[in-house]
Amino acid sequence: MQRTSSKLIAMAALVGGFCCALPLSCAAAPGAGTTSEAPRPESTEHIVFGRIRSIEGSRLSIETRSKTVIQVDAKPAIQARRINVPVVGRAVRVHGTYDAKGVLHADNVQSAKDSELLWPADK
Amino acid sequence: MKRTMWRALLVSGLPVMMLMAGCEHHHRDVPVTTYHYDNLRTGWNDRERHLKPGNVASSRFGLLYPPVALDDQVDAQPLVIPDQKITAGPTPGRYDVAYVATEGNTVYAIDAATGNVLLSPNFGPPVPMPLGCNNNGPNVGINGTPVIDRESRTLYVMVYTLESGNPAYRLHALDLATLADRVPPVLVTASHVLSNGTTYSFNATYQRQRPALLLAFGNVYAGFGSFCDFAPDQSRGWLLGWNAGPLTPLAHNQLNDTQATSPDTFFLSAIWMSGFGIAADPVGNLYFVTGNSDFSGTTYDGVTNIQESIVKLSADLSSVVSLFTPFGQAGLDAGDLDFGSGGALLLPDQPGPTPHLAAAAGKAGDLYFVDRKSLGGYTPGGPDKVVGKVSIGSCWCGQTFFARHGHARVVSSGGSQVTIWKLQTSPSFAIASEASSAPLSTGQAPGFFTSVSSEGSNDAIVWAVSRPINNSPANVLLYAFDAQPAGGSTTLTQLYSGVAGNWPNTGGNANIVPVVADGKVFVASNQQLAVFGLH
Repeated sequence: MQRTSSKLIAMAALVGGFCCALPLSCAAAPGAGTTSEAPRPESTEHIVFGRIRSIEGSRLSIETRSKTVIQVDAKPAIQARRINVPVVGRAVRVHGTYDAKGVLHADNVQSAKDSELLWPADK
Repeated sequence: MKRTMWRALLVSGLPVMMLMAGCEHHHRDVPVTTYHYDNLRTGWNDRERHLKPGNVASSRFGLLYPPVALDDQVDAQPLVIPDQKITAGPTPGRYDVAYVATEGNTVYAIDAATGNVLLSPNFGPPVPMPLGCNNNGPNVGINGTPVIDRESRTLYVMVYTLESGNPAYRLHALDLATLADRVPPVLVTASHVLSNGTTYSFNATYQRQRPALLLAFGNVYAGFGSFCDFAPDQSRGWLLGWNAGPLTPLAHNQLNDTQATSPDTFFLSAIWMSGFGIAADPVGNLYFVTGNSDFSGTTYDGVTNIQESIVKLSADLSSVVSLFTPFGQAGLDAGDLDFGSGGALLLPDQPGPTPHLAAAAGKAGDLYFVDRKSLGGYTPGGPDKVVGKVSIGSCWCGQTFFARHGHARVVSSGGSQVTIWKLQTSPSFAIASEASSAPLSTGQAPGFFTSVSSEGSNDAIVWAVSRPINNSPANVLLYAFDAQPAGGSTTLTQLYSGVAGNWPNTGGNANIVPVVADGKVFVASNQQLAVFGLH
């Protein structure tokens, strides 16, 4: 338990501070902080591909291929230790469930290929 | 040059009998017993008598027969043994045999002349999507390229399977004639003391066996990394070894990160190299390249943690002999920019003051040439103590070596292009681009893999297999380029390109190495083996 907690804190620190360690902008992308997709009432599993536009704490803003921006809560993935080092601009594959506010709670965040042509259809 | 070639052949373990006069059949057929042809990992078959630039560019060259159906994705390079006796299965006899290992844990023996499957034993259920990582197909079974000891007629292969529901690795030693175990397969276990005196144990759940196996100095070696960098508190880079006879583990093992703690509880320092092989020199040293560790960028010390480095290790795994770490290692760690996304090519001996060279490149796209005697260490703030450096494009890839009339060439395949680099090593080192291909139709992560065929110094062809550019139809293409630029041109002449298979599981890179042996080109991809040649 101690280990899990310290890990969570460590990874949360990563997500919060990581982008500032790189020559990349930490500024929120246009549209970040808003969710243009309609809230999803169901708690079914989804897989979404997109590009990280901003990182704030354990929350990521992801721009999908349709240019909509969704909010991703990466805490579950951090706890499960199933997240790659997030970098603004990098393509990711996010697996998780939406809450009623349209936030995607991710249990798995991993690097995706850079070309959108290689992203399978979102589910 | 003669001496250089002999040395390369001896290091490779290619049977000397193949080179002896008076044994015509054996003389002309080239066995492919290991990744990139030899333990230097040159990628150069210099005894190809059939495939020439002229006939490869003609309509005579193409698929020899319909692709051979296999049970799963193939990440391992095919191996080829000419005139191999098969004593089991429905059609015993002598064949030129292609051995292909799949992620379904099946090892196929395939008649190279017809595509008929001679043997296909399965070694247990593969592990489905380990840790939810999609840098692979739906299964992970045999991920690293096996290796063959032609003398004992044994194929060594690392199988990843479920035992009582838990992931486990077992190293098998298979009889080439039957593909049956020669000795009981050994369960992979290991432990190592960390810097605080506690003992850390190998856990198969968190370790991916990706690099090609190495057979050298009477031992079989296997490198390990992670699945998607997941569980970085549980996964670390290992190099393990076993005696090739009874498969007893070596007394020592290499754990790249022995630190007990790190700022982010993030260790790794993996050995994965996009499938490239652990390399060996002729005098008892092993070489590999490591990936990223803690993203704080603060955990490197070159002793208890040797991430982002070319590592030279003693054959008994007891000591790190030398290493090279780029001065920007902290940034590589912070940005997940593994140096170890590619492997280390050892060049055959060259004239001049630095005869023993190694070359490696990673995600950052810099190809470093280092002196194998002393790799260069770590120079905080730089400049790096290397023999040379050129930019080749981001590299999930590996280099190939060949020589033309004694003049060394290195083929890079970072980004989307093949580039041939001309090396001068005497009186001093210099490197210059000789020619490049037009961009290949290739996707996924930047880079791809190549090999070179030639007949001595003549008729050199660079072979490459692209990665898919989309999901439909997710084709991979075989390319051939004339390695001799035409009339001083700096653009390589493309001799051939054609669909050679598919790779629908695009979350994991296609790291396909084209294998040329005795007039045939073998390309293994998802659920198929394509064999090209002359009609």
